Amino acid sequence: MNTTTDDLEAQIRSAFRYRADQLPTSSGLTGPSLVEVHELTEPRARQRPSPRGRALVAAVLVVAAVVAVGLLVTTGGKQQPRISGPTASTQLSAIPNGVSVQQFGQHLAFVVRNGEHVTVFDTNVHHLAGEQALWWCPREQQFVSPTHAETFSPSGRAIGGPATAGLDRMQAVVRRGKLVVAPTKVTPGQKGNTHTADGTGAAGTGSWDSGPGTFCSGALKAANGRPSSVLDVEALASIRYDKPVYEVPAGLTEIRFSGATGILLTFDDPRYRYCLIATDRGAPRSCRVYLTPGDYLVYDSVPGHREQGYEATIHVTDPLGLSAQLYGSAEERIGHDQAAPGSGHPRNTSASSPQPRVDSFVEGTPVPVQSQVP
Amino acid sequence: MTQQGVQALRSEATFDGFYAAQLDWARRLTFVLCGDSRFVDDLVHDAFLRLQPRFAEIDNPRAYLRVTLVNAVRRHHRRESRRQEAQEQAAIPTPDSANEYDELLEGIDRLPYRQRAVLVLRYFEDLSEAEIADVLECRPGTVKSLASRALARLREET
Repeated sequence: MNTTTDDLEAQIRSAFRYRADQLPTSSGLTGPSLVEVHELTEPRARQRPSPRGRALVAAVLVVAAVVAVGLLVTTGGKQQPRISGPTASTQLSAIPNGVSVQQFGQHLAFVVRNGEHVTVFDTNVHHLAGEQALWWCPREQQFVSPTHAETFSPSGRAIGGPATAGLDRMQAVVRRGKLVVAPTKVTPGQKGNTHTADGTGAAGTGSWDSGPGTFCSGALKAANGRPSSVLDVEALASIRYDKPVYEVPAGLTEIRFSGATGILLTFDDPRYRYCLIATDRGAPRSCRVYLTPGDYLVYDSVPGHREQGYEATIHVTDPLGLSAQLYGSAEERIGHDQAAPGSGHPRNTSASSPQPRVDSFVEGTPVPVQSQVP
Repeated sequence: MTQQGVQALRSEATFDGFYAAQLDWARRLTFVLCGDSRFVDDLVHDAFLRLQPRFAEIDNPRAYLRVTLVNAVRRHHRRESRRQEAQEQAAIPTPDSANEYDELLEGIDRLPYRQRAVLVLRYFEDLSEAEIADVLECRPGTVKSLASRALARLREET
């Protein structure tokens, strides 16, 4: 049969449309994916690169070396923002405008973003012993260190409490759309304390973040240091996590994830969405979250997986009952820094609420930012 | 832009919205590339899974998904080719009633994968040679020659 090119092309188009129309409707996701099935039945053999592949890799390495040398030569005289030490990076587009908690390596930090201007605050407040947690109060637009009732402006200046300097900053730079942070390189906060904080805020009566209307309600919280607990979660091939309910004490928790490949774990609560871990090779398998008493839903955010069963609850306990304590003025709080081992701070009283409150924290909340990326 | 258009764009800004909007297209493309409906959902699911962690940082998730699908089907094709038994099982089921396109589709399925992918991207996805070259990570001239060889072979067979 003789066919012209145009005829053949038209036939091919029609044939493809015909085939696409023959596709049965989706049967839905009913089991482990194809990749998982293959991995379960036969472990993948490590493929050795072919001679051609090796030659290609060598050529790429040579070209990369030449480009790197060229860049060094051409940029040698310019002032480039530099950061030193081990760095961790994340896509800037993944960070919301406003204040959010992000994890850089093993460090939790508060990131204040206003467009391209980003400041990364260390959560360690070193002025007085025992202070490791730092909260962001979305309604009051302040940072607070709960143990000593210190308050800081969104730009990190000390504005209340006994702090003698502002919040420390991690070295950070935005490079090619990525926020690169050196968590171990900290610039000390600006010295001085303006003591301009509203007295009804930090010094207000009642416990902090103990419900709507209380000081710092709906706080975004973070801490650093050694995790007070480690939570191991395993994804089973039978489309569920290994437990329906996990229990951990309040404080800084490290979640470690393992098990069937292709499974994710993240929090339902938007404040902890930065914790997105996976069982795949090369993906982050652990994260740190600062949890206060309450129940937190975790799930696999792959569409369909949650409905099939990849969902669980993390029940955060308050073993010493510290959350029931109520505190009065800021003066009473100062010096009352006997935070429970493993609980990070004693101020939280959210045990009464079954779910962590998220209503007063809106991702993307604009805040004034006075500092820029160094 | 219409209200619905704005809503559609907003809904696609989230991964769930993107998944809902692109699932049908992804399944159809995969089926045309792969030719076997049994593997379509798994391949599509795995492609979305690969996309999900990077979704926020990708400018054009649809293009990313397209490349992922083309590569996933290629890996699948290689795997099935290695396993002769599986290849026989994966043969396209013959429909009960013969269709005018069956012969042509069988011919396309016998083409080497890159030639087949070029035809699918050109005549099903309506991509330009440059866009196809980006997807297949080759030069536009290679796309042209692959298409030319594929058409010549099909012309011989038909």
